[in-house]
Amino acid sequence: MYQFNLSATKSYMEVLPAAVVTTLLLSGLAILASIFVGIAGALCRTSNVRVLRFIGGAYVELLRNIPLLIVIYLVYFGLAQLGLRISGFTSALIALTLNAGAYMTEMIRGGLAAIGKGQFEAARSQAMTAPQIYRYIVMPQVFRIIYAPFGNLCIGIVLGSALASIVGVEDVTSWMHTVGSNSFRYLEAFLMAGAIYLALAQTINLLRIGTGRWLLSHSPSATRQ
Amino acid sequence: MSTEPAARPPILRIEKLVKKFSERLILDQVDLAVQPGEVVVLLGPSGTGKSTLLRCINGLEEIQGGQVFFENRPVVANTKNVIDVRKHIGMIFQSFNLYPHLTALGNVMLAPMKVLKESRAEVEARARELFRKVRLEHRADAYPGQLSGGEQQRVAIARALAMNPSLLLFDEPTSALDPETVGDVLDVMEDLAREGRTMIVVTHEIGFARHVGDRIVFMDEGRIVEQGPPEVIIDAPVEERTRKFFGSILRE
Repeated sequence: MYQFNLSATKSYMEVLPAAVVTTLLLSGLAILASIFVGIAGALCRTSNVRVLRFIGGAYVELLRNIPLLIVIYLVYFGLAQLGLRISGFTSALIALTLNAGAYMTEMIRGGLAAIGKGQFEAARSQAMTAPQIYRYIVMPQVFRIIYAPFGNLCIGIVLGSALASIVGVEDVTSWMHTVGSNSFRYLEAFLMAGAIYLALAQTINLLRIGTGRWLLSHSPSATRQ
Repeated sequence: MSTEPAARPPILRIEKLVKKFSERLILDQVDLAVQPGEVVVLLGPSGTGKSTLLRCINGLEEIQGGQVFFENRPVVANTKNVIDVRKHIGMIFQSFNLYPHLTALGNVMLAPMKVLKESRAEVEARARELFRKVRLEHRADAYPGQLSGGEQQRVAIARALAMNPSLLLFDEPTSALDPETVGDVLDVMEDLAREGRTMIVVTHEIGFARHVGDRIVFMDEGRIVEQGPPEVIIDAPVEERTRKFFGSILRE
């Protein structure tokens, strides 16, 4: 019978904060970068230029249909084959961004599509320039539409970042492996790591709920979404 | 006092305007001049290019032939100059097109603040005044989703007026409204006409056209069939096509 003993992980506790920071840094940067990729991708997908639409569409289909694990391998080993030596962290960041960027693209495209053509016409008739229309009309509305799926996507990125340990990133998952293989306290390590990811995901979830409440109190029109 | 209307320069001059959607001809060599202070009502069956003509005036549509001059400046879609022109032309749409994420007041204040770069205090004072004018001073803080169609359209009128335009374009402003709210919007439009505003109105409200319009322009199949004072065009038109149109709708 397995004797559950959480205190066996005690001696590894002092390296845990660094591992958590790595996970936070990796997923935080990936979220940030994938927002930019997503905006660019969505603008491509909705562009009047056919080639851009094709590139945007191909990117989304490709990245959404290849497992993140394989994308990480492709970036890490593929770029190395081309003579580009980049760290495991950078590889994982690029792969996560490419993967999440595809989902962001579709999410933002959906948000843009939900804004009626009439909004653009009204804004144009009021002498607004394209950047003004995006800033004052489009962005605030897209944000109201996508904040909920965006929260879920962020959780997906944090959980997906667990795969970075396979290219040597010393994140929470890597910490879990170390504890398990050194102390043979696998179950405790799995549970600890699971609890940390759960806490991170729930933090994002609470932020999402808070954002929703704030939006609701600032514009009842958000309730119609 | 004798006034020679032709002696004043028109605020809007349209010459031989041609508009096509791919190969389909929508507007065929349309000529139209509008004097300052004039209320021109465009009437005619649906799909004859009245709304499209309106949208060519502020460059929302590209044109394939002819020219549009607003205050003697050419209006060319997708150029920088069209943005300048639009600062002086207000447009009211059939489906209101209010910005749903902003309050009624926010809708009215946005463009004057961001496009004309006027101060918030200045714009807000003017906006409050406009809400009184469209009889909605108690609804300024409501969001579009909380307003009836008629209220939304009056906010849209206030939004257009906030830019201090010298020309107002109304694109079927009451066609999407419940019958009982149509009157509120038409009343506001009549007030504006009385103030001497220059307006071009696309509508199917014959009563409004008759009482408020200075000139009726009857269009069919992308052409101006005939134009003149309401009592002539509506009650005693020369052209057979015009007679048929008003004959059938006035019988209802």
